[in-house]
Amino acid sequence: MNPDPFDRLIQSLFDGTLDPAGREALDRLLLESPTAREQYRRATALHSALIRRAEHETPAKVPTRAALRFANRKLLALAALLLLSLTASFFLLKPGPSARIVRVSGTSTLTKGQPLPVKTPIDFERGILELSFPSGAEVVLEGPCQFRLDEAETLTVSHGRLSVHAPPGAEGFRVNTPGGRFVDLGTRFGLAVGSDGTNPVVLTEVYEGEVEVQSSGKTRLTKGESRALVREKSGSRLLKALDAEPIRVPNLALQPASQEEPGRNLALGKPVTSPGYCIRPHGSVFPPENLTDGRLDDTGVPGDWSFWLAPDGENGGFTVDLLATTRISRVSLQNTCNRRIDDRGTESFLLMVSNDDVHYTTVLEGSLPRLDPGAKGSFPFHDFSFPSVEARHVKLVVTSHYRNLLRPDDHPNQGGGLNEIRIFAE
Amino acid sequence: MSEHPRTPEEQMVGWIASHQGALHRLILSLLPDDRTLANDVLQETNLVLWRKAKEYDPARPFLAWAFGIARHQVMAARRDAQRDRHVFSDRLVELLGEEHPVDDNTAELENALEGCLNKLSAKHRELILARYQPGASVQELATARSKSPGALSVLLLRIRKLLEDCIDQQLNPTAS
Repeated sequence: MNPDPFDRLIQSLFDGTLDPAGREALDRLLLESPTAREQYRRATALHSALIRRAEHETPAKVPTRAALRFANRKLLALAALLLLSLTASFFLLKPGPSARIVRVSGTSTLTKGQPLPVKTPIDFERGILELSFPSGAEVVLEGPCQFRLDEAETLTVSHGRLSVHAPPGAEGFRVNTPGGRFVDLGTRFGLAVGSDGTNPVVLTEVYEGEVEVQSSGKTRLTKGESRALVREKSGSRLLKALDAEPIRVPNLALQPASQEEPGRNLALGKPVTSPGYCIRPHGSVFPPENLTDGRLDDTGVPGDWSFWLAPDGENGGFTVDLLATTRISRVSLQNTCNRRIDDRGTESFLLMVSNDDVHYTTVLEGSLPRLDPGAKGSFPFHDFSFPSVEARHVKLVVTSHYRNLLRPDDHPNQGGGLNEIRIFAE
Repeated sequence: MSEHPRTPEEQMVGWIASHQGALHRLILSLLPDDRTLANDVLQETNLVLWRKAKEYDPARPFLAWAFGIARHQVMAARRDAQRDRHVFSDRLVELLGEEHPVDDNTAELENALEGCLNKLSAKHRELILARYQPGASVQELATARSKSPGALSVLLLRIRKLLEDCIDQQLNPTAS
């Protein structure tokens, strides 16, 4: 039997042995002939079924996700989990050296020493995960984060914040993001992978050494340089500043794990509303849900920052709904200075409570000190006690805000803001 | 806890799940030389479909809508990858994408495939299954069998044609 030349081209295509001349011939044949395209579709239908069959027979671990706090995030997690289970078989446990988990904090879904499956998307909603690769490269990831191990020294991060250290011998370590690829040329650097709602936005800052950014072209960045990689329809752009602000990505490797008081914070995960919040280009949105999300370090990734900001030039305010009438007597507030840009934050405020979200009683007037944007680690919490009261709705009204003192006092980029509110019974 | 009504997202998960085969087939036909990339694009497509659950009008045919999104994801993936890596021209990918039949017979095809695999000789069956094992390469398979990759490719092509014909007969028993 002598198979026809067109079928041989298709076979070489599937088998990965098609040479450039064969490619051209196949492309031309398919463009010219509807019959050839029909034959090609028939062949791909079988090819696809055989691939799916083989991959369904290879069991893969499906990562479990922690119980999430927001209703919408819960649903997202549920759907993601469903999709993962349905398609788990697409992600293969390949043998060979891979990364190990060397440190875990604040997340219950992953454990130290756990072997990480290759090609499997791994999600964690909170906490810190530190990975060590055979080359010696070390990566610290912060939740919420979605990542995947590819080849031995390649990590794909679709969402989240990380810092990478490639010591001598680990040069060439790569991080793929939806915006482009970052190749470590022996260095320490940070990445924040997020989105402006439609397109990927990736922030990077080089702490030491050199990094190559590969997107539309190749760009090398050295110590102290930072960029925002913004992918748009026309291609990728590397911006030196995002929304007129310098780009900073805090080094996770230097940060102690955030501390919490579990079980007592009545506000954690509760819905929060505000009359308005700050929206800036490239995924810089700061909705009030950030106030009760348990993330404490005044940062995050484009599209998913950890703090709330009032609209430009406004003091603003917000209301936490505890979902049931609850006895409360203390709040603990963590201020923001807007990613250490030091142009927004709460100076003084009123705290009010209500049972019907209509009639409010003021229980407290207070003020927060200006944050030191250069401080290492998480910003402090400040406690405010008041006589014990039964309430369902807790409203905080900012009465004055901090602004960047180096700018004119009518500069639009200023207003109220807060990173986190905790509410306690006592 | 009370029962939640079915949300657009929950419904979408069901639709996405039941059409994985059809979506994979479309995406693979546009990215035929990169099995891993095709899988990645499928995952991304799933996610986009899910995110757009609220925009989807259930009165419209799901597959036509989903295929449009899948084609868009393929184009985006092609833009991301190095241009010289693509085996097909942009024009061809667009044409194949537009022409792709909007139906889903993957369940029948997969059923037929099981029967047809059983009709193969043990040697052929073993070879074709080994060929599709994740991570397998025709080069390595050839070396292991002391054959040239070209000779092995020809053998694989024969097995593929046997399967294609057998499946056609199963799916269209009356056609001659």
